[in-house]
Amino acid sequence: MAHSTIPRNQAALDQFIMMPVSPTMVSYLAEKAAGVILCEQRRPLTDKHLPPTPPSTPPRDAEPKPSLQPSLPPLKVFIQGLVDRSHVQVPTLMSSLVYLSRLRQKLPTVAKGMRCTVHRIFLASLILAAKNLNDSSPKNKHWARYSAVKGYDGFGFSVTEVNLMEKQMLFLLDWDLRITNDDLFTHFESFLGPIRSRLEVEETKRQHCVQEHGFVQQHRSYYAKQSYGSLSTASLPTAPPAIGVYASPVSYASSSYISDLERFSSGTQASAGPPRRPVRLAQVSRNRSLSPPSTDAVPNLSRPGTASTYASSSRSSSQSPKSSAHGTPASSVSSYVDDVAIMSCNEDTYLTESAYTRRPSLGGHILSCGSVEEKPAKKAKIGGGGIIARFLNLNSATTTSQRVRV
Amino acid sequence: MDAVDDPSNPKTAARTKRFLSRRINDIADSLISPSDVLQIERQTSQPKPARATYHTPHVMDKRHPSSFQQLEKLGEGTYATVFKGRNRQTGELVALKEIHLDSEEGTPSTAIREISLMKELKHENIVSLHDVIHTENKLMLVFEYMDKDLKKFMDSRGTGGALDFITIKSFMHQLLQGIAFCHNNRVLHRDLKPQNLLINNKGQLKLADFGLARAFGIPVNTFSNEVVTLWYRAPDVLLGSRTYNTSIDIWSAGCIMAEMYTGRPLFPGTTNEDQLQKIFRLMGTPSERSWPGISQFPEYKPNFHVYATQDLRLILHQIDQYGLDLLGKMLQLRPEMRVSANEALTHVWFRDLAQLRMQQQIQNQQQVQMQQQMMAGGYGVSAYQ
Repeated sequence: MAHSTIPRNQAALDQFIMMPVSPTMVSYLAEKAAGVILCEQRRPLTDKHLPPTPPSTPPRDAEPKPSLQPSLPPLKVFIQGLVDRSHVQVPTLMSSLVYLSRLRQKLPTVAKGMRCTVHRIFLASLILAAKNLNDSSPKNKHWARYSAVKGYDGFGFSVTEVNLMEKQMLFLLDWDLRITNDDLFTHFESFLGPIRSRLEVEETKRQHCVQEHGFVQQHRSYYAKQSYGSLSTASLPTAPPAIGVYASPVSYASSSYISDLERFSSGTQASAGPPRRPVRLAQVSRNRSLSPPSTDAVPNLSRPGTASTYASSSRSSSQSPKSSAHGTPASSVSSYVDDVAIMSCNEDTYLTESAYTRRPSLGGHILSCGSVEEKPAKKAKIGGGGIIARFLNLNSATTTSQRVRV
Repeated sequence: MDAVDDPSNPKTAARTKRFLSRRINDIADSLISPSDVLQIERQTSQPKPARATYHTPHVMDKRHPSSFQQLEKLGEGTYATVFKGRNRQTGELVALKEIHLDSEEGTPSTAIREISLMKELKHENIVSLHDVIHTENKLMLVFEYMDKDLKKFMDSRGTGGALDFITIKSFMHQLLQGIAFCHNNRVLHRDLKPQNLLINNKGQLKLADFGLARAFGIPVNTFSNEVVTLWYRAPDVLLGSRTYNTSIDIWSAGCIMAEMYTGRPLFPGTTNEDQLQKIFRLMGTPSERSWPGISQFPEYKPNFHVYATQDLRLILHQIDQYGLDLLGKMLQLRPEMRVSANEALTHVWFRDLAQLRMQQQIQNQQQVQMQQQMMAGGYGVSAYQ
């Protein structure tokens, strides 16, 4: 990476992590995860016929499954399910790429996975990213619940399995979980490239179109803020946002993921007034709109696209992200707080290509991994904001987090 | 793990049949239990190549908790219990930090971060992590053994907890070196307090307990403001900031420095509000004028009781001018005004440290010699010397 591109790369990264999870990202993750290890496709694999395939070849694992075992959801569907249920945000979700790649480098090329090894590897990477990057994150029992996939009865991991895969992942990675900015630049490159190009175009435009002064000004201040905020968290001015939460079970859910946003919006406070209010309102309003369709709506939307695109096994990853990134008017970014409020009414956009327009992450975080201290009682129903219920039912999750936040 | 090769285990037997010519080796050995989760098999028909990219993780080697003799309990934290231990093979003393694994939570994120960070932070002022043993229901971290923590060290001095100025200067220098190393490596400790600073009989001070520590500097992580033990928590964090930075560790260091002079915590608050009040009573209540933007903090109250700034010397009679200057720079209410660890290390107060240490060393040697003369021909001076 040339040195001159670093500031722009940083600006691109700052934009990227504010984006909502897109199907393109999910496909990319699936592809990368599949590349970690070659998996058994048909059940009894006799090794003598094993071609010495390098693990980089993405296996065709969305294939029909052996009849005896519960059907295995395609990796993409599995990942989309985790995203939908956990409401994990882009920074955490995509950081799992770093661990996937680290694992791939550590595994011997002859390593061979069983049917759902890649599913396990992905889930373990995501869990470790969530635990490492956020001050509060779902417990493994919640991840176990999120691992079930609609339409694939019998598939899903038990908490015991989740615990074990996490432990094994830690072992395989030798507890090496540090993530640097360079790691992010490397592993997000297919997404950052298009954003960088767009930034360049805008930069050029800005220089030429003096008459659009006011408009341009807006952008400029936006980017300035962005790069400032990201130089390092150390250099950020302290900012108000906070709903204090860490180990406290009730409020646990709401804060942590959101603070991603808060942190970045905080950079604006000096110049643009306190961003918190609007953001919060946006979150709330989005939550409301989110409730009626509830969980079911999302997978439905996701499936058609997923199924068709999934099988593609060539690693043409670098192309795909472009589609999501180009052509997005910059203004949608700079006025992004408002966008959220507006877009929130429009649940359909969620999984469409217009990745930029909204930010599911906002509402998401709510997701309460919360229930920290609750007893294992599986089906416990605790009134409206029932903690366990939160994990089974998005509506109540939303309710709870609203309560917490307000 | 033995179950792997146990043919009576139906699952294993089935697999053995399926992968007849395959054998599970090293990693897989510890990896693949009957419920093998990642389910990774490795072919051993291939020669085991010296693959550059692949190395056997040494951290979780075949060690077992039983390779350490567990001695007395040293302390109990929120998520772990620490025991003194002895390596049965080498006889070396260690500290064993046992973390109970909750089956619902999995491996605690505190442990995950502590281990991943401490594996990297190798410094003479940071306690070193020797080993990690991950068993079914607990995680055992093996640390180098240190004699006591700073709190106990102060209490054992018989001076009401107060320390002599040479020791204070030496400890502060070591503390700041440890902090600077963390910060230079983009790690926030987030829980500095006397109990987490360990002292050995050589007068070394080391940072310990990285359970709350975090990497910073990448734009992808989120922060909680429920960090740092209340008494050592910076005002910006108390006001609800989540965008705090390295300066929160400096505030804690300032509190610790003052505590070493008096033997008592500087701001022993009982609640968040009380903590802020105690700080304001000494440092003065900040306003928009002295701290632009303060009213934007979530916990900011317009009706904070207004106190005037006090002279720190009123409570720290023994402190010298330079020490006071450094302390004042660490205890700045506004985080951006606080001195950095690197800057603090170059402070004029530390200029005579080497000289003072040498003097102290000479004094100690003289003491030892006197003791030896008194106990002539008797018992060894001390196992620790």
